[in-house]
Amino acid sequence: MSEEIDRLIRDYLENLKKSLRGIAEENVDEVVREIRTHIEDAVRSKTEGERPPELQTVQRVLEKLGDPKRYGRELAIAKMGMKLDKAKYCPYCGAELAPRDVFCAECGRPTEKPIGVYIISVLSILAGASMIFRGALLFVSPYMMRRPPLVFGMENFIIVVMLELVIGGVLLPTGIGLWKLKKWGWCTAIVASILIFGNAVYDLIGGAVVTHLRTTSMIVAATMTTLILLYLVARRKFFGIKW
Amino acid sequence: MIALERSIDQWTTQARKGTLQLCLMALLKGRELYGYEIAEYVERYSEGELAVTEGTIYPLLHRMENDGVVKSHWKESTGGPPRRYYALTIKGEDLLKRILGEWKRYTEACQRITERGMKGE
Repeated sequence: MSEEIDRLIRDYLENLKKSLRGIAEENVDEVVREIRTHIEDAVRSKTEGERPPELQTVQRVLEKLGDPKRYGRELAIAKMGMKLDKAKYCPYCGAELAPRDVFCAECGRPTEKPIGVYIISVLSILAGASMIFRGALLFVSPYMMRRPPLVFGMENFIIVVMLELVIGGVLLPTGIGLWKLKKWGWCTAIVASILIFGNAVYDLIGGAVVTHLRTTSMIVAATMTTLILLYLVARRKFFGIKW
Repeated sequence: MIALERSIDQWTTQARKGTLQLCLMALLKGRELYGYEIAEYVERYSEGELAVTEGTIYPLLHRMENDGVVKSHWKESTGGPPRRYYALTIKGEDLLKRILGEWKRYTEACQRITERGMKGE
């Protein structure tokens, strides 16, 4: 065989070997040997008589054998045995996914939620629900106790109740939107984080904070919202946001 | 138009994946063959209709071996290098018989449905 043909086959088998790395370590050599025999058989049957094979013949044989890089993928699926029957499909476009795909090769959407998004969405749902609950409780407490609210004046009382209900009413659906990887969930989460961050910083700088406990909690709030903002921006692709 | 082509492609790929294993088992019934021979038979018997990428046959064979449907061994052959021969196991023969029965019922049912559907019944 000519040097060029030799190199072509060697490259093909090298790529095959590479694609098998980490998938079929124990029998890489056997698979490579088997494919090599296949190539030799195919070339021999297509070369009539004793003539040495032509480059095009070998190219056609390799083409028919398929992309060596895909081979590892196919074998990975094959090695999963029964798992092939439970093949993963993209929840958005229905394309079949390779076992380790994080994003769909067809539509680019993620195949599963990253853990951080789970955490933020659960936190948001819990915070939202508890604020609504607190707001509602605050609202009915004066009626239940049959006297006007003790701590605040009537005006402040209404503002506090409304704030609890409104913020809770934003955080709860935001959490659900994040859980479902919705674009709007991402947007409201960003806006809510910025607002909470702004409020915390305003309180800290403006000197509205008097107790150590409150200072600490504001610093924690500012840090957490910064982290959440950075995280959400870094994971924007999971929400189908492209930039 | 492009979307339609893609749908056809996707459908055919899915349909082939399911049926190729049946074809390979049928080819291996009562005899042992090596990969290249199997690829040749697939092409010849299907008259080129089942133009599978030959590379897909091997992973499938290896999976079937994993599942205990086929067994393989390297054997010296006359006029060529040693080759890896595949044969059905007893489990494989049993599976082939059952899948063939299913396949027959399934294709007939599908045909009845599609024929009636096309007639608008």
